Amino acid sequence: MRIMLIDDSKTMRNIQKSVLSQLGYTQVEEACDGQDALSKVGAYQPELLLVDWNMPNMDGLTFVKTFRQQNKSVPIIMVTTEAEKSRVIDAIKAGVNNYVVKPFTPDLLSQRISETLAKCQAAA
Amino acid sequence: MADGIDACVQTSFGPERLTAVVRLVPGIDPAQFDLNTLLALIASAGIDAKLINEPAVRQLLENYKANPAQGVEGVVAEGCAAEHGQDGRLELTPEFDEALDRQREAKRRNKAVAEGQEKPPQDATPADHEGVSHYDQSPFCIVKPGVTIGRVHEPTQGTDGHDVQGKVLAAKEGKPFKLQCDDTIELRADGTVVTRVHGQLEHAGSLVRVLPTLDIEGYVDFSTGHIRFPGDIVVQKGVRDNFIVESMQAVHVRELVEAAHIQSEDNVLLDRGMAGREKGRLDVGADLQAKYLDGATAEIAGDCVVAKEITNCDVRVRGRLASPTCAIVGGSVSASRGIEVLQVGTGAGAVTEVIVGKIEELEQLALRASEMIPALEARLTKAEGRLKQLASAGARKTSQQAEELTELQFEVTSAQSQMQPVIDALLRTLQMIDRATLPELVVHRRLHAKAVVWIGAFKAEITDELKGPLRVSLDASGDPVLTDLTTESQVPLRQIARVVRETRFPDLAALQAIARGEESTEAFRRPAA
Repeated sequence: MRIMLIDDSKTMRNIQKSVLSQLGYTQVEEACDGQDALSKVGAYQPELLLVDWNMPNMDGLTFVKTFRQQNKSVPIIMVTTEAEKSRVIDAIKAGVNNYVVKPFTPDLLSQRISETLAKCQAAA
Repeated sequence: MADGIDACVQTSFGPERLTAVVRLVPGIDPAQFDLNTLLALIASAGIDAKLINEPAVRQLLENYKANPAQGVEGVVAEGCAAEHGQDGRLELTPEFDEALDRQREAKRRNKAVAEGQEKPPQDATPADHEGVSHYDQSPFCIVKPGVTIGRVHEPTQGTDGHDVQGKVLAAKEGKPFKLQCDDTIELRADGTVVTRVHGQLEHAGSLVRVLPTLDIEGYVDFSTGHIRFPGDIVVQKGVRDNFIVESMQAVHVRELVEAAHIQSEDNVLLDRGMAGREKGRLDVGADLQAKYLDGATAEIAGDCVVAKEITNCDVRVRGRLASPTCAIVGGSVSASRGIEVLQVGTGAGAVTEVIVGKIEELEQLALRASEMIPALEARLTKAEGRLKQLASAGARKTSQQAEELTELQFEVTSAQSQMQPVIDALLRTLQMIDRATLPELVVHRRLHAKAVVWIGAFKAEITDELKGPLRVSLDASGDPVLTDLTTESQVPLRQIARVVRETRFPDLAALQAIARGEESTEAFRRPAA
């Protein structure tokens, strides 16, 4: 499965990559902000996106909105420190499928990825 | 006149009547003698008219008419010899034909040298054969399975011939060839002869086979080059300096091995032994048996038996050195499953080192694993400390703190997940060492002063000669003890020898404690006070 990690923190991307690797997903592309991600999605054709909210150049919410205009089916998990209910609702409205609030444990991230993929497969 | 002509025309036959020769003797009037008469006369001698060579007869007659006083002679008819069939035969490929010739010559020369009939060959100078190593020039014809070495040809029928009288000369049919071979050779339906096993190809007459054993009648020297053979090797004489004998099976040398290299994946038997002059080397995949070893380096994967002496050698035995009649003098001898010898060292005080119950590679592996544990513990402690700090900072976290918390939780999980496999690996390695070793030295006659015994985590320097039979081993707490095998009385070794804890080998008891979380890694590094 092709997965794209969008986060301005390299450490955070490495943590997520390690969790994905333990789940058996090794095909991973990285982007450092929304703009970088938009330039890569066309060629990479990801099947799952893990997106941070607060990033320079283009934040995660703007990226989700833009991406959803062209692709409605690829699952997106928002991984962010934004924990307020209103923010979560904004993200869901923009087209996010699941939400992980930082700080998270590797187990929690792993659980969210698995449940998101299972839901999307069931819906398809 | 006709009778007169008859008498003057003499016909004779060559072997098998394949030619007819006519001689015209003087006395015939050439005017009355014509070609037809002569042809008729030749035919009347029983020669097949179809086979008479008329131009030859004409020429003969002309020659006679030119000089009737001398007489002439010539072949006037020729038959055709039978072409006999060829016998069936084995035709070797040029490559093997040549290789087998070389092998025969080398064996002859090797035997002649061994019997003193020829001088031993010397290494050729580089000027004669630039770039050629005469050590590597093996004359033996070694084959792998599935190699085509030749072809058996069927006998042929042959073609009949006829004599000058038209009588058939029957051709003889070729005799069939019966290839003598065993299971090591396959004769295929199309006649190709293919090897079935790895070994030395032998060919004599109709016999072809692959020998699983390479038997060298003389020395391994320049007449043989290095020996590399997949099967058993038997050397009837010895192995000269700098030569290599390498086998995937057993090696047996009946006479002396000099500063050579013997490498076997199975047993090695040296009827006499090795005089290695600090250059000889033995790599033995199973057991070694020798009369003596001198100035040799040996790695033995199995057990070792040396009848007389091990002098100034560096010997490592993975099994047991069980040689109750052998003296170890000088050098270093290590045996993972213990040593039993007649004596260690000499009255003259030769420094002799014996190491018992060690497998250095596994011990180093265990040491490396044990060193990872405190490093992981340190990572864990640091991350957990910072996690506690952040937790006490209040419920509401800044974005930066939330990210740091995620990183710390990942660090904790990662260190914890690495810790258990490392501990398991360490414990498994220690178990393997425990099962594969026996820290025990049994000396039947004397353990001389200046001998050094490495056992457990200790180095014991023998200061005064100890009389056997005795055993040095470890007690339940891992300390070296000396047992008098006559009385079975036991004393701590440190009472009669200088015993010190050394760091040359890891302290396995300390590693065990680390694996169980009972001790820090510093313990095994500390020499005893």
